[in-house]
Amino acid sequence: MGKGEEFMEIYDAKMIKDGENHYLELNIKIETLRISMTEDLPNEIKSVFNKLILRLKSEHFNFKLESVDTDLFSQVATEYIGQLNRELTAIHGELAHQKLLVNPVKAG
Amino acid sequence: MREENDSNMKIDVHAHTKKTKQGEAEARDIEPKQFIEIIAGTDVRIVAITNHNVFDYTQYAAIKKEAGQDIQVWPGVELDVLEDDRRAHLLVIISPQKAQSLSEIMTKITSGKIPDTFSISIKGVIDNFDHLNPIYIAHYHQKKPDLLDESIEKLVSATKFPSRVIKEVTNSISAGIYISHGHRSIFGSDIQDWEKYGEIARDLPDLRLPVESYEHFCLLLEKDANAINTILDKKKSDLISLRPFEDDTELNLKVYNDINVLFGSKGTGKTMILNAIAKYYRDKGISADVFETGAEKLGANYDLKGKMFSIDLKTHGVDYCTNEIDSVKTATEKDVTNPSNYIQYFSTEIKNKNAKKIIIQNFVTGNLKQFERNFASIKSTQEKITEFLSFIRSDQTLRDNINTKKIGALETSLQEVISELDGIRGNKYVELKINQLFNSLIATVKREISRKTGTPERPVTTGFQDYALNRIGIEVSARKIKSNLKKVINIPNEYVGNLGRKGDLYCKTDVVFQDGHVSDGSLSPKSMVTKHPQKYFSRKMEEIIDSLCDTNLFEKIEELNSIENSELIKSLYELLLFKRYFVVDNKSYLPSNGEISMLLLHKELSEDKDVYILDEPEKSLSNDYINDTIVPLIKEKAKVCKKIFISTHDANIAVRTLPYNSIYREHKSDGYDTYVGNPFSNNLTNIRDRTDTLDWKEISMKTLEGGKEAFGERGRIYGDI
Repeated sequence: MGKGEEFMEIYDAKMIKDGENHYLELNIKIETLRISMTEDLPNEIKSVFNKLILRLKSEHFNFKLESVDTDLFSQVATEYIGQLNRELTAIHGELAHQKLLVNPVKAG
Repeated sequence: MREENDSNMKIDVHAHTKKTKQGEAEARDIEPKQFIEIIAGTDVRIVAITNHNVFDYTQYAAIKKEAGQDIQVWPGVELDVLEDDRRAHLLVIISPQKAQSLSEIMTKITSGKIPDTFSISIKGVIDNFDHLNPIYIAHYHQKKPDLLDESIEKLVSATKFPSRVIKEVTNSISAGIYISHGHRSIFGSDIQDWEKYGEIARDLPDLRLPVESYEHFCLLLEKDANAINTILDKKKSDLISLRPFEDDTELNLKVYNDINVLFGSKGTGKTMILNAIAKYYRDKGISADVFETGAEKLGANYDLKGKMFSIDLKTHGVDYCTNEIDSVKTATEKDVTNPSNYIQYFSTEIKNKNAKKIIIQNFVTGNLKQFERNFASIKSTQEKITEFLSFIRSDQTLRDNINTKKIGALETSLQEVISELDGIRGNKYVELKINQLFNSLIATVKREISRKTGTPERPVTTGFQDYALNRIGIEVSARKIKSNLKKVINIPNEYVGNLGRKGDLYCKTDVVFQDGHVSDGSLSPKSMVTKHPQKYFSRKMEEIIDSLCDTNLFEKIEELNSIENSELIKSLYELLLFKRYFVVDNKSYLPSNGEISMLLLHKELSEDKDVYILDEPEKSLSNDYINDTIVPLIKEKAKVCKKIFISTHDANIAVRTLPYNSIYREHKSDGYDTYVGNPFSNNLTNIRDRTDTLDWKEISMKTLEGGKEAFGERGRIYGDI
């Protein structure tokens, strides 16, 4: 990490199968969040997003997808996490700019 | 013309410059230069030197030389008069032109005698001094050693100038009492210690009319009509023509840039005359209103209901938050991308070879926020500097005070900075547009591939970014609203007046925002939005802040919008509450009717106007307040040549202000009559019939409330000349 770069936490993300259902599991240390990939449940996704915003106020983090495979859900998860990570970084920057971070980590 | 200064003139008819008798204090001795320095430090402009049984011409001449034109120094002597084996003191004051003669007479009659033992009879006084046309001032009653009434009568009978025999009493109160009983009286300093003169001089008699010389003073003593009219004519006056009554009768009055008092019984049309006077001046473009007192007027004057009260929040460092309130009220939820979009895309293989070759379809859209901010920041900086340059170019003060070369150099530097910023601004704009176009390109290409190949569009975002940005935007607005609602607004107290021992009365304005927790029922809303909606709105805003990362955030926003009159709350101004009230020592205070009258009148007289018109200002006021505060204030206005019209039933005002002009209204069986006059001539003349005259003092004592007391308590003889 170079001078001026901010520390970024890396949390685990993985695809899990529960019967016919596939979930993207996001482990943000204090709790584990789940997004269903087989069913469209926007309110549940929003609930997860709300928790991600709250967490972003405390720290900058991204997800690393575990055991990547070539099946459909692995492809989806890879794409989803890739986009989500970019967006998490952008939002953390926005929170910092708006001075909405809680105990922000100072650069340098 | 010395009109203004003359109005402050005081007279001291009894000053000593040397100790001449054994029992006298050394502190009476004073050198001519020091004497004039001390007198000049007071308002005394006429002083008579009256040493015991001695007139020192050399010293007098030296003092007169030091005095110059500003101070009149009259020669005199304080004689020991022996009548019926009783010793008393009599001041003999003469014209400065006859000082040499006084010296010669004193040398002759005191030859071979010492001041301690010298005495002279009344007859001796007349024989030796009466031809000098003197003023005689006899110690009287409590002023010891005093001349008995019989001795004074003897002096009055023997002198050629009986109107110039005056009684010297101990102070102004005594003088007033004797004046009320028809005695001419006065008092002087009879100074014992010159170090105390400044303090003593403050209570010496005022000269309401300017006195130019000893001879002039004698004419006033004799109530010489010409002398009085000459003085009055020097005062600026207007001849005003009024039609105050319903029958259109014309009333022509000469009014002075001084005190003009209207008095007479109730129902004689005084208020109508005042209204006509006000109209007369208003028609000439001079601001004039009739002042009336009344308990409800104080609240109206100080706008306790706040009808006229307005406030600019910006001047108190508060943002109106208009955009923020609108932004919260109109916020809507952002949708997220459903996982099925991803599943659909990855489940369908693009068969089209050409489509596969378009690499751009694999690109993702970038975040534009930073580019937008960079551009906005440069733009704002450049605009501020451009504005500053424009100020420098237009400010005349700068051009008048700063070297042109320096201004030129500053302009050049700023122009260079602006040009450089212009370049950077252009680059930031290009950066922003490139990214906007690139995002647009990616979206368009993906959409077109999807359309042409019949395959699902590749999702470009999880929706988290827009979802989060939307909530962050709401949070920023709501927090800004909350922090501004917490700001304290301080409005300076307005001084209302003094309530004597109670202290100063102020009008205080409390202004607070309804932040959801204010429950003071005495506060009123500043806008059309009533108190309950204000409170619910602010409380709901707090709930919104607490729900920013909750799923029910938009339910709260919906509830905010459904509050009654919520649509009227467009800025923080609509959440203002205020209260205006009176305070003493910062504690709420409700003035009594008397205090209200007092304060209103004081306020009226504190305002700088050319014309003051007061209708019965004494209403609800105590005599002490009228005497000690209002009469001096009215006199002050007269001194600076303001026109003051007062209709009154109160002798404290009608007599003690010693008006240049007294207008008396009388009801007779055949109608009303108007008399004009003044206290100096002691006459009131019917304006319709010059032969019909009244005695000013008698009418004043008879007509005015407290008339006798007014003459008795604090009259001052030279006002009563």
